[in-house]
Amino acid sequence: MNSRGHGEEVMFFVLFFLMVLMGVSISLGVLFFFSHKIDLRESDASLLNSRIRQCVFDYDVFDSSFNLSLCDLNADAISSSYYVNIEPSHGQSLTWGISDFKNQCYFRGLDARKDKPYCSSSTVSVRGETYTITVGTKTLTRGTL
Amino acid sequence: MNTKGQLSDNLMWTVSFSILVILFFTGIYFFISNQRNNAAYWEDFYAKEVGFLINSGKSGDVIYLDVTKATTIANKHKISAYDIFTFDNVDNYVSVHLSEGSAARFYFFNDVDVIPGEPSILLISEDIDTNRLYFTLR
Repeated sequence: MNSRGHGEEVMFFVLFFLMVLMGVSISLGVLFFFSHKIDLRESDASLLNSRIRQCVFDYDVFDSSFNLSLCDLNADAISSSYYVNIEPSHGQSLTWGISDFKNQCYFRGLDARKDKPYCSSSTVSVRGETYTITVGTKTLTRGTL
Repeated sequence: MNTKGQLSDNLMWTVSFSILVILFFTGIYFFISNQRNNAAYWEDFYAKEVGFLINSGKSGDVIYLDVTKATTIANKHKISAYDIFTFDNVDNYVSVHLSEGSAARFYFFNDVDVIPGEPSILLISEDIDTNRLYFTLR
């Protein structure tokens, strides 16, 4: 009879099972941590919003001769990766970039997604008019090579 | 009674279990270490970091940024330190390349030209053992 031997075999499997459990938990924790990319959406949107606000202060953005480069902003980059809307209290609004960001920003079903655009809004009063400025961005990098 | 046999069984059990534990922790160590040096994660991190600095800056600013982690990872993947960061002033993007076959691009909205320093990365800055990227906005 070797009852002690049986006990050790059982213990071996218990400890082995615990190690597998620890390994899986640690791996999932590490993978979860490193799968989260740095999130700059809020800062990026606020930064661009403040630049647009300054631009509205300095120039008549509704003038036909206005273009974004007057405010040191790159129109191509804004068209391809951002959404900018300047809405006066009276009259037509002015939009650059990806218009669909406006819908996506306020779509609650996308809240948990990291690639959901973030929108930043502000108002500015200048030359007797109040403008609502909305800026949206996903702040994503693009993989290449 | 078989004391010698039991002793030998116990020893075998202890030794095999110890080997298993060592293998387990070694595996976990290498897994975490590998994840910490995940090139895709750090490419994204540095592309956004540098892009955000460019967006925040204005013409005439000189920017220095500690990129020691980037140079360490690039070195492991045999990428030259001077090939890590590239700036395109026509399409307005910064590209970060830390391993063969991958890179991350970030498009900045600030309409400035980025002029990398010569060399673009200072491998040792003064007496501090860090690698710093430096560039000027114009």
